[in-house]
Amino acid sequence: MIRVTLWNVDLIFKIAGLGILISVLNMVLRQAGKEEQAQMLTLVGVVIVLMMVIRLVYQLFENVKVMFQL
Amino acid sequence: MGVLKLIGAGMILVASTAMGFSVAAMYRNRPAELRSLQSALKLLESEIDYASRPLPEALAEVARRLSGPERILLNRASQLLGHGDVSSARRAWELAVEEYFSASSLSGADRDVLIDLGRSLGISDRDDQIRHLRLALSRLVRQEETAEEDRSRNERLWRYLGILSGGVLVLIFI
Repeated sequence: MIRVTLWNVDLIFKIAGLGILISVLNMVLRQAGKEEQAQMLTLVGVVIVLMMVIRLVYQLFENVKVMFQL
Repeated sequence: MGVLKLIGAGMILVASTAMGFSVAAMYRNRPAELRSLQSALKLLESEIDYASRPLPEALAEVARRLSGPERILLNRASQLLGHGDVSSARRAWELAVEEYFSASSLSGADRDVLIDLGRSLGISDRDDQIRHLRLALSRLVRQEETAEEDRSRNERLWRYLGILSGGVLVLIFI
């Protein structure tokens, strides 16, 4: 039941792009002396990416369960 | 479908960039506006002190010599005073300041300085009014210092923020 689709590759690029943009934004905010907002932004970025991949993580655990017949 | 997505992404990017730049423009314009307000108040002070004109005339005279949004503020105040459809000089000044404020880049604290000035305009003798004008002037100078500080810290930040947040939104929606 292991599926490899092109959709997943797109997701990887999307996450990479988000990472780049958020790290640049983080740098700009830190330069402007807004450390707290920079930290908050990083946290928000992590949450957004987590929401994107949570289905895939669920799928991974399902696959592991099937593979080891749990 | 692909073209539609591209158009939407472009629109989001343009809109958020414009938003960032307009906020940055507010930070950029505020010190300049505070400076020209100061010169307007100085002119008004000398109008009252040396020419000893009554307030509506002094306001109109200063407005005639100025250009830019401050002209609108003083002209409006002078008009309201001259036509007598307000109860007091203070009320006329407040109305003019509100009108001017909504079109300017000033902050709430700057507006309070102007409103406070209006409280003492036209209700006392010349020396007292001059004193209050000087007080407002020194407060505006202090506001200008903080505005300059804010500008150097926030102008570039808001530009980047607009562009990059547009990029993030596009990436999330794709």
